[in-house]
Amino acid sequence: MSLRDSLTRPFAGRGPRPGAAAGGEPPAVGAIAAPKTRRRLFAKYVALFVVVVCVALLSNGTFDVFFYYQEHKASLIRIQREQAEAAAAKIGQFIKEIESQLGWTTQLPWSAGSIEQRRFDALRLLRQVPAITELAQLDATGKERLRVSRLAMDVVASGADLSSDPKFAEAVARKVYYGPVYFRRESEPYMTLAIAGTRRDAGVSVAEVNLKLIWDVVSQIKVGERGHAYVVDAQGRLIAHPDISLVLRNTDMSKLAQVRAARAATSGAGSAENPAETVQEAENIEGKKVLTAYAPVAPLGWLMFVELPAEEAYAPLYAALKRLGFVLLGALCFAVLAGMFLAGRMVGPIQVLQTGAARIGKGDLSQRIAIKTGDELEALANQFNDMAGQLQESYAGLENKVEQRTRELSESLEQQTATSEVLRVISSSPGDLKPVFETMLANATRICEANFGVLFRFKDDAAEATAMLGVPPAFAEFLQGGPLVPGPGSGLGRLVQTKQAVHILDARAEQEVWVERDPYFITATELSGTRTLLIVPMLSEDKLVGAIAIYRQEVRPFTDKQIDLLSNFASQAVIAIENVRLLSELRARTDELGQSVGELRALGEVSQAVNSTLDLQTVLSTIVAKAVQLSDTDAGSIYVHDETQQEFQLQANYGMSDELIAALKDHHVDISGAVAEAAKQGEPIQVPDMQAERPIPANELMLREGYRARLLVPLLRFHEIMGALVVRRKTPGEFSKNTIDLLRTFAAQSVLAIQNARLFQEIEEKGRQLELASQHKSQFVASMSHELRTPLNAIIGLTEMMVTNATRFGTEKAAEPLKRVHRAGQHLLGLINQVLDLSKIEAGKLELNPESVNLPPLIDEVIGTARQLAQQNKNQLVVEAQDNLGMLTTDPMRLRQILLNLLSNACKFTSQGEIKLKARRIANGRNWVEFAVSDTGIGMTPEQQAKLFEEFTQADSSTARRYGGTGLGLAITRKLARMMGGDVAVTSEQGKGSVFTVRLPSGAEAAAKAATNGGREPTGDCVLVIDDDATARDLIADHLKAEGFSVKTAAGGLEGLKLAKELRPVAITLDVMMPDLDGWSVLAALRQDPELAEIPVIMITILDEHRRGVALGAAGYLTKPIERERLTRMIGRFRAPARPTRVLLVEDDATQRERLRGWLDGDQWKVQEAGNGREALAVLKDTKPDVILLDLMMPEMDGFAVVAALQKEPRWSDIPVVVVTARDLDAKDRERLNSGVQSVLVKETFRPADLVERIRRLTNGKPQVGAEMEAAS
Amino acid sequence: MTKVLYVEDNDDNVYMLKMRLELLDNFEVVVAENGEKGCAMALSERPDIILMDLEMPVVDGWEATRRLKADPQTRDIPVIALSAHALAGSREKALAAGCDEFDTKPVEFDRLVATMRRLLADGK
Repeated sequence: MSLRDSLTRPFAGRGPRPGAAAGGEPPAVGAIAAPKTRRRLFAKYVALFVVVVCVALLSNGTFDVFFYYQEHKASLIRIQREQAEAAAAKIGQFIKEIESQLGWTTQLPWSAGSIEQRRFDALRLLRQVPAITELAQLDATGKERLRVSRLAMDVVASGADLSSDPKFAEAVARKVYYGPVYFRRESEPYMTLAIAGTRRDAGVSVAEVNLKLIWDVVSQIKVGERGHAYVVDAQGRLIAHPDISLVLRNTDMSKLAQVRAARAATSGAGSAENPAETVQEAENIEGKKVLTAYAPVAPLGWLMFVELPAEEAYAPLYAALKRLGFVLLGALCFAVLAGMFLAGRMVGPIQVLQTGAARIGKGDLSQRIAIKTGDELEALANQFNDMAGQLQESYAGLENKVEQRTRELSESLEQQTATSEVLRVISSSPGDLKPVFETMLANATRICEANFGVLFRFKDDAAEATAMLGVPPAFAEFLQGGPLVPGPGSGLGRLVQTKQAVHILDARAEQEVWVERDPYFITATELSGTRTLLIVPMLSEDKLVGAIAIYRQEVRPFTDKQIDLLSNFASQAVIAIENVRLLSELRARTDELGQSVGELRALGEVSQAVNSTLDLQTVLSTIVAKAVQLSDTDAGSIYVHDETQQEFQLQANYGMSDELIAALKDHHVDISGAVAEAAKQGEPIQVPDMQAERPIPANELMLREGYRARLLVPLLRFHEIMGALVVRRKTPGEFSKNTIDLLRTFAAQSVLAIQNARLFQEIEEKGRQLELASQHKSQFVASMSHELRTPLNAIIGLTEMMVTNATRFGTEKAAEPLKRVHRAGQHLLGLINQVLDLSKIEAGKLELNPESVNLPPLIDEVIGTARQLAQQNKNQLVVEAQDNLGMLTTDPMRLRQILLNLLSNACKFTSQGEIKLKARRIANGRNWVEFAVSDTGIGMTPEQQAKLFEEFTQADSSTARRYGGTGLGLAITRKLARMMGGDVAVTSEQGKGSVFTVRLPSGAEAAAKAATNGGREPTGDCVLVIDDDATARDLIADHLKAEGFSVKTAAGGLEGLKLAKELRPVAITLDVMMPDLDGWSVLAALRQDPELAEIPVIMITILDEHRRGVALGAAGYLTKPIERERLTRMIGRFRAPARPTRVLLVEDDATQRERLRGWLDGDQWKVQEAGNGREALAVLKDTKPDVILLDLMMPEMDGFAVVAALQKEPRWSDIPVVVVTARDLDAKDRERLNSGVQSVLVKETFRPADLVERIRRLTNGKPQVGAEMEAAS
Repeated sequence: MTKVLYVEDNDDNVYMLKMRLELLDNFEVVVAENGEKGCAMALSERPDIILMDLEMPVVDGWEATRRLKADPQTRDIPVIALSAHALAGSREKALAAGCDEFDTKPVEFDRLVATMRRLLADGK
């Protein structure tokens, strides 16, 4: 399908029209069988033409007719009028003639002349005027004197009196009298004409005038065919008419409009503004339309009308109209024909144009429209033709272009394919360049239509042919003969210079140019037969790394497209090379990373080891093992410097045979010397090959075992040598920097471990020493007290004696000094006692002797003593004691001491104020007795309050000086109070006063505890809270304090252990998740210490955000391996009184279970077993044991879950649970336990009450058990 | 008659020393109960020698001594510091404050009197 076809397709519709002419000739004119469009235009034109013609004619005709009509009328009327006037004039003239003639007759006076004369005149007149039929003459009086007639006999002097006759009267009056027209003989009109003479006595001449003349006149008037004239008199009566009958009938014409109008006009009826219309068209007496004109007959007042029947008048008009009509019709026809002809002429070319355009539209561009009308249409046709021609051209052009484009596109596609193929090869074999280059060259040579191609890579300044394709063997050999240094003439050389593509059109042609300077070029050209050559650079960031060259053995330049393609390939080659490089780098890095990760992991393990156990041996062993493993060596040792012996001792080994270790130990003096020597330098020292060194015994030993290389890293702490880490390798060689760095890290870890161990030892040592010192101190104090007291005895005693018995000893005068001495002695004694008390309390040797004390009297006693003190500073002493104070089990002496101390302080620091002692019972969880000593004294600042209870500090030294005292009192007071199970608190405001409050428990347990608490210092209900989270600590502590416990807190495991040892609290709450030493480790440590093992530990952990926690009330903990004694002792605490103790043993290991069961044989034990948590719970449903021995690490339902389940169920939650844990929980186990804790905790909410209850329960049972225990052991 | 100014807050000590010195006939003792009053009395009474207790309220002995030694009117009056502190640096501290001599309590009476006589003799 050609382009043209495709382009013209949209226009094509149903294909070329059938019947369309192949040429461009116009269709026949008038071919009405043409389509509607043709007809429309044609019809339009025709119609237009016709219309124009008609309109023209019509209008013309109408105008003509109209004007013609008007003019015609006008002219007719004019004619008529003229005729009328002429006739009227004639008549007038006639009358005038007659008048004048008649007038002559009047001239003669009557006096003169005779009648005969007159008669003669008259006859003469008659002869002259045929019209006058009769003449009468009247004299001035109106008498008829003469009558002459044609018809009758003349009459003379008839004497008829006609004076009253209008003829006479009117004539006289107006000179002339025209009488009305009358008829004689019924056919002849006559009128009487009378004229009066001018003279006074002239008479009147009366003539009877025959108006036949008028009739003749009238009759003679020819108006058209049927027009006629007539005359009417002043009254409108017809007096003359061609039709005499009418006249004779006396037709009254006055009704006629024209008559009326004429009469009006002549009578001057119209005014100037409204002239009487002359009626020109009216009806005649017969009612026919006529055209009429008139003329007045002057003297008579008659009107002469000339009428013409309108028909006749208008006849020409009608004729004209008819003519016009015919003409119009004819013209119409003509116009139609002409129009059709013309339209045809016009439309034809248009039609041709249309057809031609349609054809062109259909795509038939070769047709040309032929119109030869020589006008714009022809021009238009030419335009069309031009257009068609242009379209043809452009189509053709387009076709060409498209062909070209397609060619180009397919070329590009080919190239793209080639490129993508190359890329594919690159991506599929990322590490291998050979396939890439080969594919590239193959594609390049193929697409660029070259004969062969070479890929060069540059190393330094020389090029190497890395890949070749299709190269002639000679040339190939040449290229492969080592690195090429291209000269300036060769393509390569030029490329090196310009770093741009080089396109040599004909190498052979250029040979002459280079023959001198670049023989290589010549050679290459010859060997390869190259003519056209294209070489493109491979650039990596502007650096020339290679080049691709393609060669043709004919002279044919490469197209731009090909050059671009080759450049593309070059870029890809660069990418490929880069990829390979990156890949190998990546591999190297990954390896490095892998190694680093391994090292880090090892370090992590080591750190953990270091942190998790204080056992130096274990730690060092772990370190050396990891060090050897990671450094890829075969064996290692750690030496630790022994201060005392000043030598390095072998502490840990790895990968060494026992014999070797033993041997090393033997040689340790030498070895340590070597180590010391090396270690002195402070830097790692390596011996790549011991064989190469001077022989030293230590080395000999190693060499014998097969070790060749050695690396020694000193363990340094602040430049102090603590030891050395040594690794040995059987293969000689240097140790890499990485290894050395790694080992340095391990060395640091070792240092830490050693340091820790040392510190721990130190701490233990110090503790021991302190213990010892404390013991010494108490012994010392105890003995001193004796020594001090003895002389005091003498002083106090003797002075007292001398004062009391002054007269006997003659010491009356010395009373004052003696009293002073006595007082001073007492004071001293008191101080000594205080010091002793304090030291006793500190040494834990002060004993309380509780008894049942009645409080009110004791208070009275104290107050009595205090009154003196109060009086000293003029203070008021007030007592407020409840009535129901009752009894209190306490040591009365010490209670007194406490109260007195507070009261004396109050008195000391108050002057002229009030000191109040309040005593009451309160119930705040437990029952207390509260004593409050308040004063209105000087008060204390918060800083002073803080130091208050410390020994030997009073508020400040000036206070001591001013107020005396040693500052011991409050310290002792607090200690005593605490020993009693209570405490002292203070509130104070400087300048206002202070309140000291002592609370003592009023329960029996307090006393009992105090009584039976042997051994170390009894602390009362002290609970140790170990938790790293301060808020959690405070939370628990607050709750416990509110319950009446005294609380000590520790923020970490280590601190907790320390405090536990110190305080021997009655219970310990232990957070599981702590950073330094987690709960499990603390637990393990606690258990390991026999003194602390019995303290119930409650494992708690509280999740930060949600404040959830649960008390996992394990009443006791055992760690594996379990020893029989430990077990029985632990379980023994929960012995049921008077019956066998029910023990539920939950342990998954059957062997273990058997063993435990074996230990608990005997009547006193009743043992039930469960193999896992679920079984245990099942057992619990039936029987409630007294104690549960629970292994924590069990499959399925582990210990923690069991404990949680126990707590959920109220009737089980008070069963003591002894939990068994592994000795060394490794990180994984701990993690699991801890996470186990978390999962349990989420469901529980922390109820402090629970915790407290638990503690109470755990601790309440204890004293009896303790007693029992003592009995048993 | 040697006038002694004894600056001391403890009543018993005053009683004892005053009595004992006056028993020696040629001593007249006036007393001030703290350093403040001591300085005032030193100016007003013009004693020949001052026995200065060190631990006193308001103004202690060291301060009082410094003041006395700074004032030209009292500078020449010898001052013996009396202190119950038996600690190592007490003597040096007192001497540094300007005291001419130092003795401990409880007083060894003869030694004290000897020291006093010596200072008085030196002064003259």
